Amino acid sequence: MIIGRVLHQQIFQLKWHLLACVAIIMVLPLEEAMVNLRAGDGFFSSNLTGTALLLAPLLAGLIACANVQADMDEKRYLFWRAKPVSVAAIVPLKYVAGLIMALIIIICPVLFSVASMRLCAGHRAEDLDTHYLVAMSVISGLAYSVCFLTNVLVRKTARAWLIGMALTCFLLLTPFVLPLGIKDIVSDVTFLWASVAYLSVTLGSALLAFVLAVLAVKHNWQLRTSLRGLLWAGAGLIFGLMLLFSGQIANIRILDEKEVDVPTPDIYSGHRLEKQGDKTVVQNQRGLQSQYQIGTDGHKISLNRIQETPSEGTRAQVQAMASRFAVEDGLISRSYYERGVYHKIGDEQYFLATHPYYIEKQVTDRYGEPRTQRHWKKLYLRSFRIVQGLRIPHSSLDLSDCIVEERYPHTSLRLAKNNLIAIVVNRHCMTVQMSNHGDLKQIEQKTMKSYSRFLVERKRAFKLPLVPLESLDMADRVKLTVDMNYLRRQYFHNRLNSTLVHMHKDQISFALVSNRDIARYDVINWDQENIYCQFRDARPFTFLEWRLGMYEYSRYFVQNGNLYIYDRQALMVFDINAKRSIRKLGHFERISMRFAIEDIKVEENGSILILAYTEQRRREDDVKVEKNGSILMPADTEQRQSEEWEPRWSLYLLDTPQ
Amino acid sequence: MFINLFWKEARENLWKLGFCLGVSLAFTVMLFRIRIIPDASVCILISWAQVFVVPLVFALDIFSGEMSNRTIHLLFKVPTQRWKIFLSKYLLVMLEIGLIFLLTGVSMEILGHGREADAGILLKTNILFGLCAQLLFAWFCVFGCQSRSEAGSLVAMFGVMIGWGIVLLWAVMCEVPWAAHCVPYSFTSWAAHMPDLILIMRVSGERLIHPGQLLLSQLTMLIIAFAVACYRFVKVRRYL
Repeated sequence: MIIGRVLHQQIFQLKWHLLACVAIIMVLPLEEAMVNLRAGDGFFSSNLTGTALLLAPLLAGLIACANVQADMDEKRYLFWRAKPVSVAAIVPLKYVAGLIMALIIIICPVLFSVASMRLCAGHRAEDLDTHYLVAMSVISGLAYSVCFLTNVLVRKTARAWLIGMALTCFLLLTPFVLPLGIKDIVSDVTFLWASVAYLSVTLGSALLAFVLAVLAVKHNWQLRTSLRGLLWAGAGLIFGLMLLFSGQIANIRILDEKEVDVPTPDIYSGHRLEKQGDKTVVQNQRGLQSQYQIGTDGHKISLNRIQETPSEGTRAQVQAMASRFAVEDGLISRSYYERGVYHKIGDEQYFLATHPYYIEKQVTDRYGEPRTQRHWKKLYLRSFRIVQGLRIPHSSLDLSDCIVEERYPHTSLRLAKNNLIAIVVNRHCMTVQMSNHGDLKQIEQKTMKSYSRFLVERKRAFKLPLVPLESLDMADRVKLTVDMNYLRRQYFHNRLNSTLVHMHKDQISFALVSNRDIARYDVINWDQENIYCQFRDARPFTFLEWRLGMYEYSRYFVQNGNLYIYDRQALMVFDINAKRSIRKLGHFERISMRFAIEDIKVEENGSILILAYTEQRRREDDVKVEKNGSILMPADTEQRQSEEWEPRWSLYLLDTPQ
Repeated sequence: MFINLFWKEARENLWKLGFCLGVSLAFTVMLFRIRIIPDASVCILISWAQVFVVPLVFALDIFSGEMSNRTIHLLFKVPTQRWKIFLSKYLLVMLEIGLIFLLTGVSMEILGHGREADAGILLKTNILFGLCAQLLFAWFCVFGCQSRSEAGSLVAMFGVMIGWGIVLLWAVMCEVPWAAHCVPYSFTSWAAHMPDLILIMRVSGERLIHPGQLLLSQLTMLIIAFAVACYRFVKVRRYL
């Protein structure tokens, strides 16, 4: 009897709130339906249903406050407490009645969407994700419970609602910004368990809020608040959350930054930082160099324009020597300057690169369609002498016996001790000696054994076939072996002198990055055939690191005992030399679609130089505007994009991560 | 007498100025220091947060505080016209909102000097958002000048914010330029580095909002809002 009366009273008490909330949540779907109707598509809503559901937690909180406030008014509170009504009975009833109403509100736009799509659009609503609906229901339930509790305590609707929503946000967001200010605590849990734990915390918090609300009513707990105090507390809470968040993912300080003017034939040509002796220059894929020498002394980037205009004599020399590299007619060259290496012998600076050549043949594919196929005919290793910024052809070595006609020749170069150059072409490897005059001479050539870089069970010891180049010293061979196995996929991105191997005293270790973690392996032994490796430990990514895009296809290398992993928008540094476990040293993050790290260079003092591609929106003044105010915009999307956005390259100098 | 009323309001609302300015500057310094997102995006993020929070803080008890504390009786007994009482409140809030946005914009310019964003663009953006916030407060006065409680003010403020949002959505979806010109949020489309908003403000490559028409429309709307709000405040009778 009491239950029936209380429910009746609740419904009548909340009817206006309920109607208002339904009206608010239905505005967007109805508006969309009307727009669709006006467009002649029919009276249905699909896209804005999900958006409308974002309001559900806010409205659930409002329902909770309205539900409690009416009975928490001073006079009415005394009245119903004086009646022989058990608090333990009436408060849960009020809670449940309000919760059901809040859920009804959430369902309204979904029902409308499903029904209108079925009736007017003739098909099922497929856009709305069931997981999203469940998530919004759970969040609304939490918001409802917390607001219920805060209103019982505060007894002022507006303040209780604001506090309740702030607390809900705090409860929802806190797990994501953990660890609390400690950079290096990790959660070695799977996504499923993390989800279950998060759901349990959310539902548990809702239940706890409800229990506390019952206790608060029973014992007449009340919280005196002032608007000023509440606002400061709320702002402090948000500020604290943001500090926790930024403490995890933005703890490498930017010391300096400068825009750099680099040659840009098109926006797709990648750039990288290249060390040439004591100079660092920016170079693009086509071999064009910026005329800057980059210095990083005193925590400042200094750009010194290199006033080295090639003389007519040097230009003539380039023209004259070009005949040295002439090949038979009909061969097309495919040169990748970014895969070349610079090497200094005495006072001369040399540039080494491989040049493959191909011819094109018209063939018919298996579908009977004609297509062009490349047949690789020649491959040369070439050295150039750098004079006044120009590359003068110097020496050439024919490596054509390493290539297979139908297969693209994957090549990589690595500088070794005593002016030796290790070269890998597909399955072949060789050593080339570079003389003091820059001439090239092949020392040895071997065929490598096949290998498998995928570790099925990484905790078992495993072996890798040692690169069979006996002219290299053992340290270089071990390093090359590991890099050949695990750096291969990154040939197109990484400079080839980068390595995954760290050598410290007698210990050789290397690091591999996967989607889940960073694993550290030790090279425990080697013989003339193999090297033997063993897993040491792993450091899983935290939620934020994982979410912000660190995965195995990110570029990474080891330098001075630190592992540098970088992607378009993030850079993380880990200490893999640490005895106990892998330690995170720093994290730089730039969340922007218009920012991409092109290359990084670690300075001797540990500071990091980043070359980044950014896009700056052109000023409105620069966009052509007609007299009537309309903007002249090309119809083509790509062209419009380039009209509106201006590509820029910037250098950032980051502090040494510690 | 107007000066006295104005100073009374200034004293009462000084903490709001301090709060909004303090919080805005704290977040500006933090976000410009950690640089998780580009400076222009930080500027827009802070500006949007300010647009929704700053008018709300002022609106919560500027009118309802007088009603709930019953000080409105005393205020109406002051020998001056009621519209001057309203004007003192209105003017003070407008000035303080303007000051908050101006100082935040200046601080952004100082912190972002020599970095990614072009000189002056952060200040310009923040000031444009400030105009938007002032207009939202003006529209709150229309509906909230008679509210008796903080809850009423809160609902009125949210109503204004959501209501104009819906109008903007309709104006853009249905390509109704005159309606788009009346929406306070349209001021933000002037910020040159807001790609998404600019995108929706253009229909078939043509600008949906023209600066001259926008200024004229907003000025007209502001006068209407002020007149209605003033009239409603003057006509408060039930507490006397």
